[in-house]
Amino acid sequence: MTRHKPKIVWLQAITCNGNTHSLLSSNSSRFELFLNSFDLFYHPSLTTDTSLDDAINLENIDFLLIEGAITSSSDYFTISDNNILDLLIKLANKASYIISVGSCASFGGIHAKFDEDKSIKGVPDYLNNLELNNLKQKIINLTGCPVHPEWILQTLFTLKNNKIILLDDKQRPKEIYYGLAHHGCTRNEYFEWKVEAKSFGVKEGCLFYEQGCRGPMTHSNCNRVLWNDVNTKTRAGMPCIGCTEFDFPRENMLETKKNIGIPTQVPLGINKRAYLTITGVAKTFKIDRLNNKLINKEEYENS
Amino acid sequence: MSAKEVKKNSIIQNALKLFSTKGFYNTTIPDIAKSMQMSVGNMYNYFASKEELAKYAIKYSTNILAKQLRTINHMDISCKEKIFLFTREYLENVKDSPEVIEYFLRVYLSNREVFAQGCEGFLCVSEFVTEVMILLDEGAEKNELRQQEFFSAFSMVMGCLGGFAFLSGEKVLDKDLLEYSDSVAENIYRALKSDKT
Amino acid sequence: MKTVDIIERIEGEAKLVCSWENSRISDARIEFLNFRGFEYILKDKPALDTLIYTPRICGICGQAHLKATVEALENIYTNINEPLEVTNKAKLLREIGLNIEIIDSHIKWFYMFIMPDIAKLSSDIKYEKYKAIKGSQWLNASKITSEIIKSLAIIGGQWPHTSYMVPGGVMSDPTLLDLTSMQNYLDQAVIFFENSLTGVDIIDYLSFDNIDSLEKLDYALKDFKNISFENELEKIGKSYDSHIVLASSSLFESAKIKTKNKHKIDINKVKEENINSFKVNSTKKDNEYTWSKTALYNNEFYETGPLSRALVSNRSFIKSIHKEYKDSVFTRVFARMDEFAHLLIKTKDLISKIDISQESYIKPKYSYSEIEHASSISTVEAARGSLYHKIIMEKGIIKSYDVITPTVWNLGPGINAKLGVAQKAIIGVDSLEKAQIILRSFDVCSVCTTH
Repeated sequence: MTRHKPKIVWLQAITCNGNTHSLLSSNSSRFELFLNSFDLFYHPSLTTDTSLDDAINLENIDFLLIEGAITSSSDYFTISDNNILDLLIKLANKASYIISVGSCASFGGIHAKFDEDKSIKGVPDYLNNLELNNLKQKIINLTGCPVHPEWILQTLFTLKNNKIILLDDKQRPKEIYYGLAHHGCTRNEYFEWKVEAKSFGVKEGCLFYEQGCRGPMTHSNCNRVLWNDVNTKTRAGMPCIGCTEFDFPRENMLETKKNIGIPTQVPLGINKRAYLTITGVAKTFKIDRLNNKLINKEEYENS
Repeated sequence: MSAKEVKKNSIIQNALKLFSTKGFYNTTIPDIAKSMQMSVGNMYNYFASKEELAKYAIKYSTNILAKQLRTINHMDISCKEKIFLFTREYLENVKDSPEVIEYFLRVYLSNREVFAQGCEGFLCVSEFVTEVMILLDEGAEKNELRQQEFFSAFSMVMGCLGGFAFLSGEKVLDKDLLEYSDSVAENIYRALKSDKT
Repeated sequence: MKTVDIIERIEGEAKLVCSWENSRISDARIEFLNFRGFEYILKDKPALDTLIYTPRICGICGQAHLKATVEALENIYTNINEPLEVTNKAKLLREIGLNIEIIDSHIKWFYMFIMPDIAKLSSDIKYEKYKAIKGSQWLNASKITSEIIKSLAIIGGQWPHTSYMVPGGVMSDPTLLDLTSMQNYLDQAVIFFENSLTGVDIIDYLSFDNIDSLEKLDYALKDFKNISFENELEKIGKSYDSHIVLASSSLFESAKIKTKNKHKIDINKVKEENINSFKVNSTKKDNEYTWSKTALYNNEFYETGPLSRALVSNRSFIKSIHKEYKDSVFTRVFARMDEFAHLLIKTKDLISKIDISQESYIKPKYSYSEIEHASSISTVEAARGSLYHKIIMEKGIIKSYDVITPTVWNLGPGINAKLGVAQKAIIGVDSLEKAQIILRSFDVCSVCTTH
């Protein structure tokens, strides 16, 4: 079997490196296969034999992955003395595929909240209007703060084999982001019957009603492809904060915004009147199994 | 609407009158059949029991209110205007079809055991409760109403309207019912309105 | 002569500017040229949103920032005489989470950020296994870190960037089986310690109290030791040898050591200077060369990190190595890997102490919006040393958020003719390679430094 290893160049722009550490935390045999299947030519945190200049001097880059937000200003941020946007354009012109890794690269994310530099934005904000001759598909956004490592691997392997990947209106791979973070959450039954979590720190109840969970409004498959192979925030008890969406970070992320006790936002695409009717009906039934503790304190004490 | 449904509604309208005047337990299926000039046997083709009829009746009567409030909710007017408009329409109902409200007060609220199975909580009144939710939610979203718990706001609206229907039913009001409409609406609105407006 | 080098693989990059005289470095400047403005971003944000923001200061030590934020937020209640009740279970789950992240960070740092460079000092091909990406040891380390971090995901839901700690406790409620799985993942780290890092039973290792025990080491630490001694890494990288540990935990004692005397910390003596640092919204002056500020305690420079923690907490093996080799590169690197062993066993012990019948979370009686004006400070021992957060809040809105990261203590610029800790450590060496290794020995986190 001939093994062509596509070249990957990973650029770190305005970032916390969380996406790099997410990738390093991927399933280890998947990660090993990734390293065997691709040529990770340059990654500022990982490679030692190549420099950024080597990457710039490449004739062709199969996959240009960008972690972090972009700015056209050099006032607060440069990469090895290069203006970030200049560098990005140089590399982008050589790339067959450009992948924004994480919400900062896709939309500006948390770093775009730094008001002193108004030009902090996502990769597509700067590149979408440029003519990039080598590009085989428009820029792919892998959103998430951080991105799920499996999304990087699935996207790269799919493009390697299939050359093209279906994108949604936010340029995200549709097959990753078609569903909601809500799908597969172990608290779903509580959502169906409108049983809210009584507080943080409990296994019982849904986090949508009080704790601000954005699961039913957030495109992501976190609860189908688990984090670190074992868990998700909502399963553990932390509300989804909608980190894969363009409006992340929002305000008051750990509480549900309500008007006179009624959630202002209802699950994506659901008519509010219909949602409220169902809610009123579901709340009528006090289901003991869903309102009781799953494991009582006494059971621990007696065991 | 099918012929059967038209007939069903007609039975409910008659039953509402009987229930609200004679009371639930003092009204029998033969009484209702008689008022409809139907045979008792034929009545059972429409409703399997008096309890079932009672449940249909509460859905029927609150859906009248739900429909009115839904129309108002869809109007492009302020929440205050919606409250005034709905209060007026509600009191017109009380005046023109007192049996609808009387049934709610004297049968539905007073004979909970009849409604315990399949009509508990919001089950039979959910369409109306939803419209009240929409009214309150939109009012708060536009900052016309202040934030508070849903049930305290809900009981403010319903307690006030229900209480007024009661006074009307007891015939203790010295003026025409509709003359009170704006001041009742004003009370509801003031109780709910935002401190900032 | 002057040399200018970009240093990568330090969680971002820095520029090392050296002046040379007689083939030795006579002056060194460590320039952090990137600034992300987190303290500006945090201004005017609702109190609890800081729990989402601060972990994102850093992709590798986010849990340290999370813990610092949650404790600063809780200290607000203490400062208005309404201290929160937090169960022991919640406190344990926080400390355990942070420890797991530090363990993960230490392994990554050793195998990915410094050992590939140290191995390059030797031409012996047997050290090729430490090569980045291609070397078997590098890959092995990447595997074990991805396993270890699963134990944090069990209580945090995911890593990086969970915000499972919240004023009043934690958001998760693990079962005994969950805790068992966590122990299992850490047991794999124990096996890694014994079979890849040291060749010594971990309990035997923890009883080492004499420098002679270095001879008992095998595998990676033995390789590190041999290459170090061949290249005299035990002789370079020495700085003030004054150490500070701002926070305490089950494993770490808080104190400062200067010329052997240990003193308690007075948090009010911590000060941040920006004389030689760039300032936001103002033109750069000639003397300003980095976005890193300078952290001082009582106007003095102190080193922070695993070496400082080992010395302050009186851990005998590191003390005996330090006695011989002082605050050299060798001691500093070794202290970090020694801490891995101590943290691992301590964390397993902490997990076994959890009483799962306790509450995970007790809701605070007041919300922040009911508090007119308050301020608070918290300190946490992070992977790279002491982390400090200071909040000023009005009616639940952040008015000011100040973060002093460990790397600021170690890598910040000197002021008024007094050198910064790493500056002092670098000056005097005879090669750029060594200067870079000295810089790495502090486990630089560029993204944290200039948050």
